[in-house]
Amino acid sequence: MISVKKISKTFDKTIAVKQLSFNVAEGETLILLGTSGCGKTTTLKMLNHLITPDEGSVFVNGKDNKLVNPEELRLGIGYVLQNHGLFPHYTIAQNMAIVPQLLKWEKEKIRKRTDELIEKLHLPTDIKNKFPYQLSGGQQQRVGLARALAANPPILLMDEPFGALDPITRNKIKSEFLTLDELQNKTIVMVTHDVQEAFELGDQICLMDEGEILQIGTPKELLEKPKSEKVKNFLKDQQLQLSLKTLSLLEIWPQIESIGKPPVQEVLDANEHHLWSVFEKLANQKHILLKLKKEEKTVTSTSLMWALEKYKTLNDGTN
Amino acid sequence: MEQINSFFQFISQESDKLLNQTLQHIGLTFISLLIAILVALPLGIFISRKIKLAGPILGVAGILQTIPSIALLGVMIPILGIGVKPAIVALFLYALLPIIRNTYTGITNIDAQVLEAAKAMGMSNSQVLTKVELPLAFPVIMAGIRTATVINVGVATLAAYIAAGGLGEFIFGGIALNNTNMILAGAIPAALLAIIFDFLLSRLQKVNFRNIKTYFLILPFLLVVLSSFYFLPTAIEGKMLAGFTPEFMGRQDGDLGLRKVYGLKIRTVVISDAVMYRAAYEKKLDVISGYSTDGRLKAFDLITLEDDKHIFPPYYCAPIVNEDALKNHPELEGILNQLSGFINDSTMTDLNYKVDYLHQTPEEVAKDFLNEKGLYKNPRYGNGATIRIGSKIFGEQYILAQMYKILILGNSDLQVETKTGLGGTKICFDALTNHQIDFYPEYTGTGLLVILPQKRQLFAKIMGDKEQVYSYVQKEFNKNYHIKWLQPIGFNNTYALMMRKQQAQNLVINSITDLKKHLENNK
Ligand SMILES: Nc1ncnc2c1ncn2[C@@H]1O[C@H](COP(=O)(O)OP(=O)(O)O)[C@@H](O)[C@H]1O
Ligand SMILES: [Mg+2]
Repeated sequence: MISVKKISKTFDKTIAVKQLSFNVAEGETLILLGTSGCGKTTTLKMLNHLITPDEGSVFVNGKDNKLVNPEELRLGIGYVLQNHGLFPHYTIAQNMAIVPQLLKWEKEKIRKRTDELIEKLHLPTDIKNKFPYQLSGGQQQRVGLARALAANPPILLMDEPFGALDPITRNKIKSEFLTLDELQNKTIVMVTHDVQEAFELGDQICLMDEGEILQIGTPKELLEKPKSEKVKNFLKDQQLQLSLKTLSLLEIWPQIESIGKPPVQEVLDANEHHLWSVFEKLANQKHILLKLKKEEKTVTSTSLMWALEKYKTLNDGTN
Repeated sequence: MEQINSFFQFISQESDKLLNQTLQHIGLTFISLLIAILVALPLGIFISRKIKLAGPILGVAGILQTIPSIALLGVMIPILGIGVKPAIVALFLYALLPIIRNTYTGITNIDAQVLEAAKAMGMSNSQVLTKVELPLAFPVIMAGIRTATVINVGVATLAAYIAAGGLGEFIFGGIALNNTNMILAGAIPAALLAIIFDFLLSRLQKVNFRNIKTYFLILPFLLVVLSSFYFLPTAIEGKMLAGFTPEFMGRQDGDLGLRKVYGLKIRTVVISDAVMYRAAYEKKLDVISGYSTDGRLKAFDLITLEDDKHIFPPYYCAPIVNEDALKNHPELEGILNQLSGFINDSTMTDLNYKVDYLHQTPEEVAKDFLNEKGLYKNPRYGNGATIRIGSKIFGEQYILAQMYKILILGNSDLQVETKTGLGGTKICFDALTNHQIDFYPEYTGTGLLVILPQKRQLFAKIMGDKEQVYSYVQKEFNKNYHIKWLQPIGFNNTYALMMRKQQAQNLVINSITDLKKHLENNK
């Protein structure tokens, strides 16, 4: 869907992006991950031709961006910014209607679509005639997402979409985000500097440093087979994830406590799963029932976290 | 209360003029504003795109605004003549800076994320401009337009200086005539216009239209309507054009007398004394009002028309002396009277020309002149008492004071101290009655109209006759102030109508009556 071939960009003397190449398959989510200033935003903006690469090419749907009218290109790509970038002089409904209007949709169609998005993003219905400054940060960000989704573009670019939110709102929106049907079939490229977020949301992670790719791969690959010391170092702070990854459910079984018997969607055999994959699944659902022989334990991500903590303290004590 | 009554009386008497001037004022303000917006808005948008050019362009607009209005108007005259054109250009230049600056600031201060979002959603550059940048910058741009409007309402009063009309005619006429009602009749409407327009624009600024297109329709429409006011009161067609100072326009012994006594009907514009002579020289005006001994007559090759029906009071110049000084120094009278009969209007004009235009010193000019007439004697450097000579602050009086100084020093043992530059009539006259000076040159008309108590009917009767005025002021000054009017020097520095010498000769116009006949025959 998106194919990037050796793109470079230099501002004055700062080399922002150097010989970058990657592919994003249809329906896949790629995360551009790295510390601040490593060239993530620049890379993202070259995808929808907000920035023209000095060298190299970007292909969207097999067409070279250089040969496509940039406005037409952008009409087919949703864009979400860190600070929402809503038009302060437009109402929420008007903001959400921008792209459909540029595409000359009929009024009635626009109205239906707006209502639909307001519902899907859990926004209050009276929000339509409000102005952006009257909204909370979380609402503004949701409207920003709604605006990008309005014309149902196949591709969505997001630059630190949750970066400006407080942690509670961020987690709430993030979990909504994971379940939003609108996003399921979209090709998404998202920028973040938050490793946790990257691992939660990405099918692929492109780890960047000083304008170059350190490693690109699935979260698992990055954790299991870091290509260099740098990658290792970058993920060092994320030892938790690493330990989740390496720990089997069997090892931690004694520490796991059941939280009761709420209804569950999924039942897993503890023999066959790693702690990490259970955590992954818990991102999409609240409760999971684990089975080991005849024992049954219902867990949440929090209860698993507790178990892990206990396990770690126990092991620390014996050493 | 009386003041207020007389003010409203003035307004109702002059309501035609007031309406006319107000409409002209509105027209001037908005024509220039309209042009300024058409130029400044695109320029402001342009420099918001090319930030490097912002400094230089804002700098130039800023410098334009620091040029004093009168100077700017003066500079325009040789290029654009007098009247509406230079006034609009000057107002236009003043209005540029606030609009360019605010357009620039308004656009460059828009949140970068909003612009990025606009572009990222697929808007073209022109869509970003009209749907995002202009609407968001609109309040700031409107603030600039408000500033420009208020500036223009103010500066437009100066348009009266170059014959472009407006409320300045009342304001400056009132100042010149010391007529408070007239000043207020111009100043109050001007202030009200500024307040009203500012208020209306502030309303417009707050209205939230989503689409800039609406303004683009409303604003020019409004401006054009307002601008058109200027053209409602069109001048009557006529071949010759007169330019009179605001003061002259309002005086009985000025334009009013010309109409009443001579029945002179000429297309007239109001213009400042500072630019009037040059405007006549450059054929922008054909007839102007001026002072008969002004050096500019010669500098710009103009002649005065004879006031054959005597509407202008005589302003014959003579030394007025404190009786005490005459008693103590009896020889003084004879010495001062030596000058009598030697200087007529054109001689005085010539002398003034030398001082004002050739920049010779009054001492030089006085000495050369006395030499030429055989009146010069080397100073005796005597040890007598000191005579103090006063003069008002303009060239003619300086020259006369120097002549008297030379005459006294050459013909007596008295010593002399000159106290030149005593400001206006009142200061000189008070200095004389308080024995701070012994004499100064005064004009009969001034003595009659400014110093003596007003007796309208008597004055009206004697006004036309120079002998009668002279003997009246002589008698009254003697009686009331113990001041003696010596023999008149000869010249009469009064109001006069002036024309270019060439044109007057071609048309054989020597007097105001000739002018009137010419106008009637060439309708
Ligand atoms: N418009 C620009 N002009 C000059 N330097 C820029 C510009 N945009 C980005 N840079 C520089 O390029 C580098 C990469 O920036 P960016 O892509 O924004 O990083 P990130 O999004 O990863 O924080 C930084 O050093 C930044 O200072
Ligand atoms: Mg960034």
